[in-house]
Amino acid sequence: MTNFILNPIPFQIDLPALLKEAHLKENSLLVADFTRMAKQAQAAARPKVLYKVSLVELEGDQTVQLDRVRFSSRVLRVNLGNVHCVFPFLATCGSEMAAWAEAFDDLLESFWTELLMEHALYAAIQFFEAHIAVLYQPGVVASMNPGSLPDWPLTEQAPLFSLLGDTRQQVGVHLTDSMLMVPTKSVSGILFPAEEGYANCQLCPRQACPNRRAPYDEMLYARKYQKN
Amino acid sequence: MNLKPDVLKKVIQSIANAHPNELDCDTCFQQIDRFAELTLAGKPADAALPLVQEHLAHCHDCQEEFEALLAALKAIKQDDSPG
Repeated sequence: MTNFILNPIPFQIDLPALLKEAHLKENSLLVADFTRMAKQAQAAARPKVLYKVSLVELEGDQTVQLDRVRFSSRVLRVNLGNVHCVFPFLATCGSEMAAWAEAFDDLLESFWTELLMEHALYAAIQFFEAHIAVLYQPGVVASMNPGSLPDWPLTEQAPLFSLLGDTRQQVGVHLTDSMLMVPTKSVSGILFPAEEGYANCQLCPRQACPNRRAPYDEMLYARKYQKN
Repeated sequence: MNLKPDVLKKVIQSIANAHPNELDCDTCFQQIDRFAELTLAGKPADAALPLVQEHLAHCHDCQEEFEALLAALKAIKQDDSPG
């Protein structure tokens, strides 16, 4: 089963947008420092994506197998009910950028490095989604990530990483014993065709989340995912 | 260079049907195992991997490769089946 690596991925700093996110006004004395760091970040960044095309086999009402690797999640099982091919993936800002960020121990600079690494990660995800749209034409897609819902806990990182093979060797990302990814600015998950649309946020009641992309739908689980 | 009318027609059709997203043989080859497995499982491989399907319709070499792979997978499946 072939693995695909997207590298290099274009990454262009959008300085005005980043200054806004960093809450820096144009006349702030800190703008020069931030701009210097942003330039360094762009030079250091090597965002990457590892993915594969996996065949779906449904197993009972709680489990799916992807290339014979078993995943347990009722939500995933329902979401893949009519899907034959999915794209397990691992996107990262890159270990090179993480190594660059380690040199900063000042609190403000550390906040900025986090922001810059998130942007590189976002660029990787955007590039991956565009790549899949062009090469596989799956129509509307959605993704699920281990640990994003109680239904699909972080422990499911283990089968996902086993499906993706030697991730450290391929894209420089590894999983710790506590199932966290290093570099931390990495995202793993399964991208799948979803004609009806889907976002993890619809099932997550944490209203104050800064990454919320869709409103919480209190009745969605009962309506779509609860077993009869 | 003299081309027979039927060959010329095929060439013109190929050019007319070409689009910027179509796969080359190397990329098709990377996906062909998935396409064969889906086909063997009776699933809609053409819907799941439409560009592979499109490439196979135009590329004789890859089509041969696909048919050989499918035949091999069928044989393996038959050998594995009980009885």
